[in-house]
Amino acid sequence: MDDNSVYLNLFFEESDDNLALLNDSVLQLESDPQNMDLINEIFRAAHTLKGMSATMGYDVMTKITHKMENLFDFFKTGKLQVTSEYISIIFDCLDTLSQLVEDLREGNELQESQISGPLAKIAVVEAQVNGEAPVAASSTVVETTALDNTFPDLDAADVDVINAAVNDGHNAFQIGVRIDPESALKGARVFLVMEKLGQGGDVIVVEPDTERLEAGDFDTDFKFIYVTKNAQAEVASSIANISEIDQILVDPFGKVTAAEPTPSAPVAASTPAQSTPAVVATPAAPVEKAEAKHNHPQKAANNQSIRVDLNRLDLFLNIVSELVVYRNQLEDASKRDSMDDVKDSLEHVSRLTSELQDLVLKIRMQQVNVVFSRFPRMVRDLSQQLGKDIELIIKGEETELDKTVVAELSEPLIHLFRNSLDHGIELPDVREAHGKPRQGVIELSAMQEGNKVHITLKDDGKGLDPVAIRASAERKGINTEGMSEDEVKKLVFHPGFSTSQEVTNISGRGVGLDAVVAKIVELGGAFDLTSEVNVGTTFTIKLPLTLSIIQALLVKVGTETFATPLDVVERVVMVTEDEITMTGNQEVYAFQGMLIPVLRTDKVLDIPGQAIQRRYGIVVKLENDYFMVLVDQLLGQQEIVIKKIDSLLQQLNRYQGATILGNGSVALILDVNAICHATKGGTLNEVGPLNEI
Amino acid sequence: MQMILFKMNQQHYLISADTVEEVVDTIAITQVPLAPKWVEGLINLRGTVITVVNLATLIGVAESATNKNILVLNHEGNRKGLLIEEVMEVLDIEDQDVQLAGINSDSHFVGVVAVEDVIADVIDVAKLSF
Repeated sequence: MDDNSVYLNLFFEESDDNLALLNDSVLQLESDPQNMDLINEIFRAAHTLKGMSATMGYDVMTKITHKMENLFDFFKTGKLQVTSEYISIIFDCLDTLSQLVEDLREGNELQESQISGPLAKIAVVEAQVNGEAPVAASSTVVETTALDNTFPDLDAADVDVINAAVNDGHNAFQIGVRIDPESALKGARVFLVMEKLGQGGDVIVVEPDTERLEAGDFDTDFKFIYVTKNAQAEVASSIANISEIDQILVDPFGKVTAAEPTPSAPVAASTPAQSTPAVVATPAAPVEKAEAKHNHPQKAANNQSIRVDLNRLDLFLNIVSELVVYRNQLEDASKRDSMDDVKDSLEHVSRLTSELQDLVLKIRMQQVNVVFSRFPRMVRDLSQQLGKDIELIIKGEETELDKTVVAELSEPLIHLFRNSLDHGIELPDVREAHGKPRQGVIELSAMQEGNKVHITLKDDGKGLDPVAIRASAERKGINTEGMSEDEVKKLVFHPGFSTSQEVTNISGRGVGLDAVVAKIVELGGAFDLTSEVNVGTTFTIKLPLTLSIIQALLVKVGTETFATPLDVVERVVMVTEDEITMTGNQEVYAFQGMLIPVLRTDKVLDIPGQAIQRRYGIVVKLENDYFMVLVDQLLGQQEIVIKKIDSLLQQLNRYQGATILGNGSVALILDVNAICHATKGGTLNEVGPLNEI
Repeated sequence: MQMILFKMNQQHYLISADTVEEVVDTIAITQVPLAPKWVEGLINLRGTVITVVNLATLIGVAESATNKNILVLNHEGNRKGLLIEEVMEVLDIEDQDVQLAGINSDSHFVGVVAVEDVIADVIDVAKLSF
């Protein structure tokens, strides 16, 4: 275990965090069982825990986490209802896991017997779900006998609609559908059926209601009334074309005399959700969920520790003692009212402050090696397990990043690694058939560029196949119509998406990539993906070097002072009004032989403009495009500390944060990137001031 | 429960003292262009940047001529400033003293309390802009 000691602490820290998160979320789930976002979050935490324990080689821990994850999977797919009975089993697992982590911390070996209790309980549940016996929690057991397509309690209004349609030359059918009990995504099947039928007619009444159907919260059967111009046989065959449909029963509406609907009978059970608009609205639902997840409040980071080189600490102490000396001198000089001595001492104080600042930043810096060094072991173990031959190349592991960033980096990287190992690199025989060397190569590299660090994970595997992704997305009920190839590739970041055919121990449950993106964005970074079929996939993560202090240009617009991050600034030029030309609906400026778009900060921010002839044009370069940001006055360059602003103000998408200036006032930091790109996409006018809540 | 009594434009209001972290005198507020109009701006509270909400604009009552105080609220770890005219005093209010509770569930007002010789509206922070 010696080789693990470097990241053992990291492992303990993260395990504690994840276990705490799981405990909290599961408790919350008990009171809010329908919350899919919560289940997804739990799933991710469990998945990370599993990944980390597997990386560290703690098989006992991996085993119990995997089993526990199965339970969450049952919740997610609707095979099990969340009841306190199952929650207790999960808590049992979590307690066992905490105990395991404690044992590891004390240096004890884990025993298989430690997890036998909870495992036995899970086995019982698994048998229930996979076997014939109906799950106790499910309330609708009636329909297990015969497929039913009758609607004995039909609302009078619905009957009117149906009758009107029939008089209008349409056919009305009552249809019962039974989905294959083995189907993993019942909700998606329902969606496909509805989508298919929606093309040729209208679905009038659905039982159970659409929300439950969509969530997969039903047994195997559902029924609905369908109005169409198509014939009975056509309808039946179009449903039958959808896979994982077990049985279909299509009859003309009102055929079964025993269950003839009585139009006069008043019924309370039908809800507005059963009407057609609800069905039409379903494609939008998964997207909303995805967005909701990103807004999910992240738990505040727990107490973290950092190991510091003693030399650096000594230096720290030296500087601080020097600072105390100059403070005393300052006090003395101010008592004597000697301006010269004050200035003299201040100079020293200011030099010492910047030294301190550098030092503190350095102390917070950590080599990415801390995270990278765990991967060789993981690649070896996993490639053996998968029967793949993989070489891992690591570059730039001495690159330094802020400690908080490094600590948070391991989770997304584990996900990406698992993805590359499992889905990216092919089996040796397959590689050979494609004319590639039997051995696959994964390259992990870190590199500093300006005040950003780029981390890339590159594999020479099969790449993302847009066709396969499209097919898989459609099976899951995600509409890919009108998407470009790049957009389709980005679907792998969609929550609940996985291109792998089967669930494996390594990855492929469809959690992970969306979590990766969420994490990177949370760290203030950007994420990019390029992929080519049979050539490979490259993931690039761009992270800020430090999170708190940047060089900035202070500018004035109207009466307000703003800060602009200096890293994007190419140069600053003095501009007079007649140098700006209007072309179409965009003002441009001739810069180094190019015409670059001009953005007036006062217009962008809706600040009353000033009638001045000479302004300052800040030329910024974003990726390969130049923009000119016009400001009224230039105040100078300064190192500023970034302070977070309210999420409400962050949503305006114009400010990176705020900073406190020398005189104690607050200045906003312009998000030049967002401002320029909003113009590029033509959305600038759409993002107006927010209205009242 | 303890509540803070404050006034705005001759009207009196009450807010639960649990949620109020501190009361500060109004300091320089930096405006935020494009923000909702009830966002007064940002202040520097001992090195932390806090959003200040103009209570009068938020709840749709006439603005006071002067705003002397900012109530610093803490709602589940999120801090916000609430710009008001002036804090009067801290009072002990029993739950049963709150009348007309729950009449308008959408509103920021959760009831009315008659204290001494004035009538004060009770304001709920959770329903404020958090």
